[in-house]
Amino acid sequence: MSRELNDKDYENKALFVRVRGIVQNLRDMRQVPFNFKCRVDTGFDDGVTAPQWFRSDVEIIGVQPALKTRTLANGERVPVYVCAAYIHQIDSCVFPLPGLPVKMVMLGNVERSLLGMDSLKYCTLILDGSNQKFSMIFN
Amino acid sequence: MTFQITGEVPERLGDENPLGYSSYITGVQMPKPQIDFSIDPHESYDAPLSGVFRENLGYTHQGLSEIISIYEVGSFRVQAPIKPHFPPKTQEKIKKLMRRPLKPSEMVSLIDEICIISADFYKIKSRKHIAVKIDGTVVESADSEIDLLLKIQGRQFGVPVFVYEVGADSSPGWST
Repeated sequence: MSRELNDKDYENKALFVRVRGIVQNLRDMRQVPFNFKCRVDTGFDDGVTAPQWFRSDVEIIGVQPALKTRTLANGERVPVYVCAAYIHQIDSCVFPLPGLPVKMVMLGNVERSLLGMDSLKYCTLILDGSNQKFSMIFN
Repeated sequence: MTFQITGEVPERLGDENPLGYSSYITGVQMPKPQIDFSIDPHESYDAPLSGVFRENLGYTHQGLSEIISIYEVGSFRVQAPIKPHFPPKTQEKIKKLMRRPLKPSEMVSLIDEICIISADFYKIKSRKHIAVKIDGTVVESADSEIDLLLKIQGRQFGVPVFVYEVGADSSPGWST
């Protein structure tokens, strides 16, 4: 199990990683998996975003997402649904169970997820802009 | 300044005492209990609200009788269960939300009003994260948001639950 992601290439001048994990009902241990291609965004406060339709998947296992207000990049404040999720894998980096606990925000309708600072706090992110490569080293 | 409500137990058990409580024991006269509900208005939740804020929320006048609902049980006058009382405009929005979805801007203002009043009412410290039901009841609190979400994960409340950091309108960016 590797805990490092070395010299991964940029895609379209941005950092993209494949994130796998679960949302778990901590009462009866039912869970729903997710698998998103996420853009690494250091300006995003929460852990990971999911599209709005993922809320129905979460509610099927008995998890009631909470409502919260969030400020978008354009300054607009919107209500969003949040819940807790566990990240099991980021690209080739695999984490021991139960995984990394992060905040999941359900926002938007397209599958264009973000990986924010709540997830990045577990790792050291090294950016090599001149060579268009980046590395993630998890503690 | 205190607001006092004094109730007395009737001397004799009769029709006017539907509770069936009696201070009579055969042959012995017990002393009358004096019930004193003292409420300091400066300690109540409406103290931090400024006049402008109250007007924006739809208050017409400031009075404790409007905020603290008192009902009678038999000959006693007791205070209603401890729960924040929302101003008329907020109550209208809650009723509206029960009928149909609200606009995002209305929903944001509703979340703010409920959470601010509830945090003020329960005297919760700044930077605490709380989960508030739509009736203003705080169901859980924690030091960090992820701890709070893990605590309420899997619990069913039946009504919408709001997550709020006391003292912060929103979280724009990385907080240190």
